[in-house]
Amino acid sequence: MYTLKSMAIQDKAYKDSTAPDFSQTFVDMVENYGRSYEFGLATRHYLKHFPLRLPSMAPMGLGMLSKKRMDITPKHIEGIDQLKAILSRAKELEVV
Amino acid sequence: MSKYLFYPGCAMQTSARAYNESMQEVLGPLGLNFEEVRDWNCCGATEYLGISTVPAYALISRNLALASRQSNGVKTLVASCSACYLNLSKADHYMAERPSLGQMVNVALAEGGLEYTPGTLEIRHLLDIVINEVGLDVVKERVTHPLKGLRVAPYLGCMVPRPDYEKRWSDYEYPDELDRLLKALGAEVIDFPLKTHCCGGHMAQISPTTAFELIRRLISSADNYKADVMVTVCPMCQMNLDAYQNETNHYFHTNYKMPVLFFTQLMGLAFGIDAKKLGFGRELVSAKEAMSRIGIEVPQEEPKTPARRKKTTGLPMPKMPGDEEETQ
Repeated sequence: MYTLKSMAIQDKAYKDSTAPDFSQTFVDMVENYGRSYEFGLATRHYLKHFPLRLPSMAPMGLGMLSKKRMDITPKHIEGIDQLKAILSRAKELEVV
Repeated sequence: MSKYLFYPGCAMQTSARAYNESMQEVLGPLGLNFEEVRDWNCCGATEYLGISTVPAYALISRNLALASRQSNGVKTLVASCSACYLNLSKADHYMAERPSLGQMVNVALAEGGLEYTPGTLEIRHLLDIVINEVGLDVVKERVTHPLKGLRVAPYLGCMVPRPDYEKRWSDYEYPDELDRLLKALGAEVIDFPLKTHCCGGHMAQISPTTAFELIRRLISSADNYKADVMVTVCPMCQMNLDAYQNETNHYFHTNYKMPVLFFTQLMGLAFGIDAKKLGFGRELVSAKEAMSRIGIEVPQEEPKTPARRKKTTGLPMPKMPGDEEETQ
């Protein structure tokens, strides 16, 4: 299934789907920080694709923040340079 | 104390904080000693493998390599998050099954001075450890406050029992491990037909209406069986069913108020641990009413609205009695 998804994304064989963009945003954040960053991911995705949904999301977002279930700032791993080096080499080796 | 390596994953420190807090509380009574993998990174969740193959497996395998280096004779790596458990298992499995993939991943890992030989570690989910290593007899011995009268819907989600590379679960479509654990705690467990159905994963962000329908089916089914709470082992399932329940209600004009808890929270309660230490109150759909039905008081933290920033300049506004002391 992941192979098909990956091929579909590479060939842009999709329409009206925000999934590839969401996946790429998630991956970009993990590659930059080493950890997922839900607040940044959700904010960026909703602003880009579902801006009208934001008001109805506000109570949930506030709830998540006030109950300390979401961080406003991203967390970084110490070995981010090591991770970037690994991923950079892995991308060179990637063959589809 | 049995020692294990532990991979928490990102959600345990954020959206599933209650899972982490309650897990830490029950480890001692269960005789488990978890050593966290140092400087672990995200496993890629359900997204990275849809974008690439070698980079995705390299991302996961950095964690396996770090854990392997840290192991000092400990062979088992435990994950509490279902997506993390599945990804770590996948990397270990496919690096062995496809030697060319394993070789490429190790070439990439070498750039960071790391390596991983598939099969070095045994990847297991926390629930599996509780059931098959600790055992239900020990769990029952620890129960001081049986959850008598609490009707629970055991909800595993889809990532723990499938594809089950190592045949650890009783059934990959309808496993009963969580049911048996909750019964051992004294709860009344419903035969939940959707126990391994999907919660929608990241569909809540990608295609909200699809996610709302999946969430509605699960909550509606649990409600039809008159469950007081749903209990899960998965941070993503908990997040979707809890945090998006209000929006789902709004979309379908329903009014479900189904609390969704982690199994470790109920274990803690049954072991007599203070609910405040178990992350109660972090759920958006409060469990207070459901738990009070069996005489257990749990905190209910209401979301606090941030105080408005006071402007020192701006248009003059009408003042009400008592406003004077607030003006700057």
